[in-house]
Amino acid sequence: MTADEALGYVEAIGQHSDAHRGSVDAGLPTPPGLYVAGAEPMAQLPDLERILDCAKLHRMPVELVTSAYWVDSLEIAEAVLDRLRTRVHLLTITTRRSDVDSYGLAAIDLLLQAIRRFDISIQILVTVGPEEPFPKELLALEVVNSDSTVIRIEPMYPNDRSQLSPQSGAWPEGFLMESPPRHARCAELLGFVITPGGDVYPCSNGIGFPELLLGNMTTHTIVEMLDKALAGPQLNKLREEGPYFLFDDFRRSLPLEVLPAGYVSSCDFHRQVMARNQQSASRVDSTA
Amino acid sequence: MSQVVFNSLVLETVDRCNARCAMCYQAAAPKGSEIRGDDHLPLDLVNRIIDEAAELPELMGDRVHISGGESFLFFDETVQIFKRAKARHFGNIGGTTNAFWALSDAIADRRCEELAQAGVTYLEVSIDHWHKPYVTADRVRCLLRAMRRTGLPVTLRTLSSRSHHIDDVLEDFEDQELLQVIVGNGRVQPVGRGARTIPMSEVYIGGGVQGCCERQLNLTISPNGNVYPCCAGADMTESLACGNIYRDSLAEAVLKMRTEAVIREVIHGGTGKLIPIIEQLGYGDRLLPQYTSICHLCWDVFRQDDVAGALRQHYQDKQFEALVSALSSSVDEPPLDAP
Repeated sequence: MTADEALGYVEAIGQHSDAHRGSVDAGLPTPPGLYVAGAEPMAQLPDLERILDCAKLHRMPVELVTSAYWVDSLEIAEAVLDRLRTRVHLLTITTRRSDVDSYGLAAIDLLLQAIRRFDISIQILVTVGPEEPFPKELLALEVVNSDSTVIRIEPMYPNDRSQLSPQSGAWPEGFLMESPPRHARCAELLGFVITPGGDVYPCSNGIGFPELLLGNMTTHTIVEMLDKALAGPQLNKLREEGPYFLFDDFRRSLPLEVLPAGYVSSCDFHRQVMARNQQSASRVDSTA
Repeated sequence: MSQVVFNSLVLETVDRCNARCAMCYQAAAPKGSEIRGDDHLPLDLVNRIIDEAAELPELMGDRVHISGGESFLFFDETVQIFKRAKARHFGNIGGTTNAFWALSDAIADRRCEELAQAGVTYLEVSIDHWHKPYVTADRVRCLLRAMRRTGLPVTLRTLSSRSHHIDDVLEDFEDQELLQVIVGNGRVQPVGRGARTIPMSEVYIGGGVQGCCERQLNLTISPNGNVYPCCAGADMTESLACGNIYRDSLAEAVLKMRTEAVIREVIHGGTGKLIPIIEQLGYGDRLLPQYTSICHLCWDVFRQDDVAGALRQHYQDKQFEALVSALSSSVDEPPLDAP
């Protein structure tokens, strides 16, 4: 996604929000929050500033995701944050064991020190899996302990599921659940996720799955895509209840041995279901 | 006039707690709060509060949070409250607990299922150096596992000081026990029981007393029925009570928050602005040399009834002077159509 494309998308969402401010029919919060993620948004600071200026114009609170590994010194961190201070509300630092092993914790430490001087909230997102143990030395940092800090611990998705089952021992006991959580509703995870190319999905875990595709920014209006999201009975059920109801369907319709063997989360389960649906659909297509 | 808006409704249903943690700002203990007493909001009154809150325009969002003491000492009653909140269409419903009731995986599973059915959408679990003597990490583990299996988001509420960092508390947890957990750490505050037990040299000072709390308000009902604009220390003072739910409606209490000058100054100006006034009023010697936050300062000032009374009188006088000035200037001005 180019900066100009991103800018166009933010402007379009901003205009929709402004036109529906305070209306229950907006389909999005007014103003909506803007979540900026990518390889490293800070690598293109002038472009990022243009996008954030547009968001600010439409009064969008902004969450910016960064690896922090661009921080070489406290001065650099402060200089960058000073440029962003009136435009960013929450900075999310992502990391994992292999990053910490490769680069150390110095960059995160410096960024946290710098951000304490600005009115920007902070959270650290740590991805954890059997081969990416939780870097608990993060919890010992003085800067983590000396002020309010939020640390989210999210599971990795298994790359190769063929060897997996809760009983196989390929993943340590407790990582995988035999059934998805019964009450993990999708409500808090839903958004208006625009991918490079303009395809829109209701959540980042649904990217690439046709059954969740809401449309494309170049061929559909925002209202059309929001209408599709709000009118879809399955998406409404996912919003209110989460994907557990699909597990029951799954168990009824498939023999036990073809069920995916364990899930790290509700989203992980849902992705398995959608991947299987995709395979079935392509088999039907090729047969036809 | 700036608006007073609240992020959530907080129901402190009981003063009692199974623990007696050294840092507890509420000084909660098995026989009640050592500062506030031993009160318990009756269920019918809580139901009325929720019904009123559902109609309150100042309550933004749809969050109801139950805390204590340890409200899960009365598990069935707490479940009834969650159900009431769900019935009144609150969508973000949860509470804080120390997990003492998660005696085993089976019990934790069963109770988490019951909570989810009642409408609970998240729990916050207190764990830190000061909770350790009272609740074993195994109970917290059972609860974390059950919440993941049930699909309820969980935040571990930790506190740190210079000698007690959060890695001490979480080092024994397996990675898989922390999956999908949010660790929300804060600095321990020398407030309530903590003011007696935790030396200032042990406490992280933070950014001082700049800023105000107008974006962080939570409409809070304490176990004795007092109504407060927050649950961060003000709720442990008598002088910041803006009404009592036994005799006032929630709307009346909120009206007091919107109109009483000293409370407006605390909310919109920030407690730090009170320091020169307190000195001017002759109470400078009551201030501590250093405060860790606006919440620490707020609690320390307003727990002293005579200082709080002098402040209230000062702001009432200012409000009266402003009113007289506005009236006299409107009398002095000639009518627009005067020759």
